[in-house]
Amino acid sequence: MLTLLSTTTGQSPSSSGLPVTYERLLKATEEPGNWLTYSGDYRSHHYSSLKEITADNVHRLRAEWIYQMHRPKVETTPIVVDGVMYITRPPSDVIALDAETGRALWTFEYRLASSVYVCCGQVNRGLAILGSTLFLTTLDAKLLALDARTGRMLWKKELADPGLNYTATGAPLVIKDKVIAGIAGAEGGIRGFLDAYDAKTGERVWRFWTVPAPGEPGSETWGGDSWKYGGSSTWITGSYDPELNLVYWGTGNPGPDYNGDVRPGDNLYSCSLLALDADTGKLKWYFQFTPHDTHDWDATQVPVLLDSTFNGRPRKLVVVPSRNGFHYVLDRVTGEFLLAKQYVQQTWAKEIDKKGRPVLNPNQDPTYEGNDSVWPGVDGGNNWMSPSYNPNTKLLYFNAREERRRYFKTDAPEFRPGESYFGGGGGGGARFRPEESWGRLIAMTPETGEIKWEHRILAPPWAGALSTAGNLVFSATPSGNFYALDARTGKELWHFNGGDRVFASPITFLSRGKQLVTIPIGDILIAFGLD
Amino acid sequence: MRRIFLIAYCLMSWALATQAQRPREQSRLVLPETNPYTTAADLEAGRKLYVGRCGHCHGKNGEGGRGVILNTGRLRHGDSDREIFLVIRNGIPNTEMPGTFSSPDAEVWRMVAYVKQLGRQGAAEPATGHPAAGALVYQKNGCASCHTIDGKGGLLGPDLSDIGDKRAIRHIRESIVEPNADIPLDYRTVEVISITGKSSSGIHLNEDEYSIHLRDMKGDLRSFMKSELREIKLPRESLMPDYKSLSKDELENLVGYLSSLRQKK
Repeated sequence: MLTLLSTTTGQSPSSSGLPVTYERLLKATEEPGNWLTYSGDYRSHHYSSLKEITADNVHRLRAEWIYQMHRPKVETTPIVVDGVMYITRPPSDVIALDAETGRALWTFEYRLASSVYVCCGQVNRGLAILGSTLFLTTLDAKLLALDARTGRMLWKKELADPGLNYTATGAPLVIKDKVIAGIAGAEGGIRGFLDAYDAKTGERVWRFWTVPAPGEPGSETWGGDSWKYGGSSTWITGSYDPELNLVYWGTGNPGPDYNGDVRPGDNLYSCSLLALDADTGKLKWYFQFTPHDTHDWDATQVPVLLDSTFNGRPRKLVVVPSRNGFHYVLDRVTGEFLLAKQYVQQTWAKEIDKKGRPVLNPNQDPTYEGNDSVWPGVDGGNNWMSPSYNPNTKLLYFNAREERRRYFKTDAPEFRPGESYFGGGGGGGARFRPEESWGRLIAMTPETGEIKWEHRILAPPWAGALSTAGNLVFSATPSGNFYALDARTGKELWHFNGGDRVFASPITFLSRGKQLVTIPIGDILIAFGLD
Repeated sequence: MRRIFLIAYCLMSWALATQAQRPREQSRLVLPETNPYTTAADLEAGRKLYVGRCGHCHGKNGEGGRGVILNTGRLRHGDSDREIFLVIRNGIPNTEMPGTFSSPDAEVWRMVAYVKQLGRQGAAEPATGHPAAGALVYQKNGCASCHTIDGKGGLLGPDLSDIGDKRAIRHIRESIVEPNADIPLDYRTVEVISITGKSSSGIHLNEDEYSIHLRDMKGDLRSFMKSELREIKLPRESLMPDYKSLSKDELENLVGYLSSLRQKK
């Protein structure tokens, strides 16, 4: 069946289906008919050079097929290899679809351990592939390898004990012969890490603890025993620079989320971007966006790698529109801070100083009575959904979330298996005044933070962006509208009412030579093509 | 002139949120009938939790506000420990009261303990007006053209059949004389103006990037494409006019009447 599909998709000779070698992953952009990694390529551009669908003809987009999952909150980003689409389905299932028809080729259902603590829904964001093997993390904190031809499990390894509130939701990233896998559970009092596993055997090759133990560098930024439950999870897929052999990965909030009294200090390496040696996991540099965070502003945004110029000088850059409301530009060789620019309303920082450290405004921490003066909200100015960088327009496209929220704290919690470790909350009040929360799809010059244009939507979005060589940007709204804009001007060109909220990022690929665009809406995955 | 009488009755939320939407956890299968967390330390912990999570809607002392009164001991969804636990845990459907899905059981029980204590305080302010006289004020001012009591009346305003169980005297009075002070989200006003200049007003029902939907002044459901509209106004004003013109006796009698409306057993 796979052979038949591979030979009839009419794709480039370099795409011969499986195996997907590391060399192919390195040159993923040369196979625009496929989508081989979570973010489309190692630089995480989430961009496609396909241009059958253009600004001129996008009004002819029609639904081609729908795959129904009957599960809430589908956040998967598919992998597509020569006519076969691999997706995850909540909580931790995998399905291979015929990308032309949406019909299932095989289904792998995974049974979770009986007790799993999750803060934010039974979600999974996707897969990685190497050779003929698919990799995924599971909600009960396992890393699985599946045969992409059959869905049969090849091996299963425990990332951490789910009984201690560890969980996993992000798509792994394959680098050379290793599978990089992150962990989640910072709302449950875990101690975070990032792991690398041998793709063939599943043996762990390295681990980087994102909360240092006493005596290790950075441990002085945690008071008392707070490091034991310090969070700093790694639940969104990072990026990779093969020349530097560095993997770039964001970390989550420190725990407890809202009561920082018990963890005095900067709480390294929470809310940071890490640059790790891909072979050893050793820390090359880090940059902390939000020291001693008390607003749950994880830095788990997808880092976008750019080879560009900054102040007239060629630089290897990494850019991150952070959840804390500032867009950051860093030198990805050294981690040097180059620029921060506010992109949403924010009240917590007077400015970002020359070293990249925020200068705080007073009275912005959570209080016992509740502090409703803080922008952005607990879900941030940006979140985990994928941004897109378009090399033609040289613009970065991402969804910004504008909202004010009410932050309160409670007494510091005690760690208990199966229970949350928040120390407060962030919600209610002004969030629900429609005029005080909205969304913007932003087109930004990433090197300067200058906003070229923006597209306003009614509510803060949870959708990623996809830009294409057809001069298009695709994204979606919380009200269920999947839409296309002109990437150059922001003019709206097409939309489709999918009827449910979107917590996912669109991708595009070829099926039998025809360009399709797909996105999960509610509990379905829907594919569109020109009529 | 249509007489419109809106009284805020929404329950305000304290929704927890972090990375994303909270999942609805399964209700605990084994739940004690009585609260295992009732020590003085539990009550104090419950007070702190309540103040942060609940106080901005229900009042710091349970006196009510946008959320229901909690200081009378009359709880519409049950006053046993277990029932209160389930309301705090799961929220109340069709209201703005959400659940506390991610809170540990112990935190919920401590809030139960504090809510029970609030209920023993008694209402902060008793009604002084005469319900029978207030019913006449209600009738004379045409309140029933927009509000429903026991199935009779209009659709534009909130149902008042058990408003006395939900709202404090102070809040009822405020809603009569200053209806713009606190407009329930389900009763926001909207006015749309078509490209040709035709205006339609009503209660905002739903909206996305391309369309908007309202219940008009006749109670009919109306839908508009935004591409066919020149302007959408979302005034921070209630459709209900203020009743500052009522005499003091009329006002207190009306408040007395409304506060006497209780859930039918």
